[in-house]
Amino acid sequence: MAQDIDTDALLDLSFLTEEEQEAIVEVLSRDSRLRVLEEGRISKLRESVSDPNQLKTLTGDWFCDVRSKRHRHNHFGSDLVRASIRRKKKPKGERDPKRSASTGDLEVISEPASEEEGTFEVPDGEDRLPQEAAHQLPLPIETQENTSQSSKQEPEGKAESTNPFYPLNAEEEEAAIDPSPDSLVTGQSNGAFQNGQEASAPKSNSADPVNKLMSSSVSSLSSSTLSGSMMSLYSDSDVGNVEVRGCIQFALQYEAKKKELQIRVVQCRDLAEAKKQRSDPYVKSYLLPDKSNHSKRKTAVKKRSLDPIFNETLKYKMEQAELQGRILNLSVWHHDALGRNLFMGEVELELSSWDWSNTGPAWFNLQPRMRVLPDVLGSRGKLLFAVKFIPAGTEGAGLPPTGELHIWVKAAQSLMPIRSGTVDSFAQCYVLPDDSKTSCQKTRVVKRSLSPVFNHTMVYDGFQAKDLSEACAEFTVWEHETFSKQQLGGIRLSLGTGSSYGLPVAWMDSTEEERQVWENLLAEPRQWVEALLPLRTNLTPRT
Amino acid sequence: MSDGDYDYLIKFLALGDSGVGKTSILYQYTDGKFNSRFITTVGIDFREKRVVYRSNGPDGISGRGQRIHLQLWDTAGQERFRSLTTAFFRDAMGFLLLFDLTNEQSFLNVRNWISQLQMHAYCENPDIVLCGNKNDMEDQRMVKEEEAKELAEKYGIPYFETSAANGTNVSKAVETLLDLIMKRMERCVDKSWIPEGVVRSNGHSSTEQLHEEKDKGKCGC
Repeated sequence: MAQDIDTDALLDLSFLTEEEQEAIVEVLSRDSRLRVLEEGRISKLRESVSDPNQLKTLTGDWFCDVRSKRHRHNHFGSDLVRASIRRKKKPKGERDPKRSASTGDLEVISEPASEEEGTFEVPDGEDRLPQEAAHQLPLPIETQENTSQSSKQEPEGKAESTNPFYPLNAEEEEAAIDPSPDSLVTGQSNGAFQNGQEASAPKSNSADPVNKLMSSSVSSLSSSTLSGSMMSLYSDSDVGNVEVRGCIQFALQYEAKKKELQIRVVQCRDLAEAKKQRSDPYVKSYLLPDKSNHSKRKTAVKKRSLDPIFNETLKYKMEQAELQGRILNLSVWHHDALGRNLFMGEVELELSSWDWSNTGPAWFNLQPRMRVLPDVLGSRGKLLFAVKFIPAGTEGAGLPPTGELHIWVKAAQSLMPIRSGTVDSFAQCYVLPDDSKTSCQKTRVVKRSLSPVFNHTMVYDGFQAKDLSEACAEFTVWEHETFSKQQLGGIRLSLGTGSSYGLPVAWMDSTEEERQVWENLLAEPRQWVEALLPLRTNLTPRT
Repeated sequence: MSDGDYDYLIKFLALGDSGVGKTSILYQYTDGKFNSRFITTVGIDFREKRVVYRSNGPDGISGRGQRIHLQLWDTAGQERFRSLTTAFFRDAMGFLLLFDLTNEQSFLNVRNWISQLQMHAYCENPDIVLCGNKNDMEDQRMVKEEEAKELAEKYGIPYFETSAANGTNVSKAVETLLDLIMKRMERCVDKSWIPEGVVRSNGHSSTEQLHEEKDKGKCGC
């Protein structure tokens, strides 16, 4: 529920009539109401019940645990159906041919926002309010749209004029109103989508080969309007367009004896009115980077209150050492009886820089943006591979007709999945600057292994040596789940010059060792160059 | 019933061919009523009921009643809704698999339904109760009780001949399924037997409902 439902995994419910859809959506709303009640009940139980076995049966965790062995992401069927119905509502022409690329863009776009908050990651040894670190920009959503290299730039006038979608989108983002039906799909998707759905209408432009800049802006647009759905990475709800206001008071404590992180949510103050002059708020927590149900906790809903007092403790059982690598995300939501909960603000804290001696409650301003943070771990394993360049004509009789790049993805080692346990994974490769679907080659999924052996060779052709100097072989390893995937990390092999064919590009960001491999490749044609390199989690998002 | 004032939320799902009586059996269970008009379910629906589950020790001393909130998912049997209904399989803890005693094809399809469950449910061997419905229409029966029992035994699942029309075995079927789930729940969390205050393992269990339930095991006419 918390993770993206991949558009590929949605059901095709186009056979449903309008009335049928309505009937089903009504059933799903009733189910939502029951689920919210249940979440409230569960969160109270976690607070009061100490016997772990009893807790497991009472909360239904016994069932979720068994189910997650099979359906790892634990999406509810009702969420899947709701998302599928909503996708059906999009106008035609939006089917995105580059789905995998766009998912990549989705994650890619999110990173500049977090990179801006560079100071956030540097512990300064003092209690820092998250508002200092986060959301420095006045229009964070627009900044998110920016796909150009220097992520601080505001969207340029140029881009706006060439791209027909831009002005509309900019309007829509700034106005804190519900998206109008005649604005593009982007508008609808902001209000109507759940679970990381991609608004593909803008992407119909990406088929246009003429303006690469345009297509990148388009991708960025779709991602920014997906900010709504990206926000719903954290829940199965829509974000809507509620103004973010107010603050939240909570205290953190780690109980060493119980090996438990305790988040005492005290109250909120001065919240915005989510709908019809009222809000029914509740607080939700995640320990990032885990965005799954497993990591989710919720308080009960306080009806009709802009200054709700919760006095509830959300608990997580974990080793103290594990805290270091986690980011606490606390968000406030309005519970809507029809099941479309509305986002009202959030606070994020990097626990590695939290002062644990401070156990008293503290106030934090609620922030408007939800963003996907870069991975806290620098690397999530290693990739063993080999590459070889065969220049044209060097194999005799004029073969090969053009230069070929051979890539042998051998295995990954010591993978660290987002959640502990094992992982189903696959590796994927692009030879940039070609980021089209044809450039993408993937291995099969290897199940349940932290050191999967892929043993997959790929060949790319059409190169001369000088082309390879401008190119980058980008490998990424992904955690595969039934309806979604998560990137664990990647490697970029290139000369790392920062530009390609005279244009500055983000993806020529190879590390020293990655550069070395590529240099060896060019220096020793027709020879395999093998390497075992760490899978970086900090690949600069590509344009 | 609209508050979180219960001990367990248990989710069941009814599945089977179109027209076998899934909606009727659930309606009979929750409301004690029957409507003979056939209104096909649009994709998916659910009903809710609050019951008390009690298990007895071998010497008849009853344990503390557990308040169960049942969410009973009702799926469309029609093929066209199949992709949609299948998506809900993974959310259910137990299944009521129905066929129509007067319709042989619906019985033959039981095998297919079971393999669908094995594929899409939360685990490979979920708890299922098989119901041969429309027991009250004896003169139009097309499936023998022995055949059905044999099939049920082969899969190791309980079998009941039910009638949504007059209520025969309806509660029995649901309660049996509930009992299976409560026991499985205990097994899942703790191999050794039950901590106090929860469900007891030994002996037969009985359930009692907050609403009046008239007929338990009465034969249809």
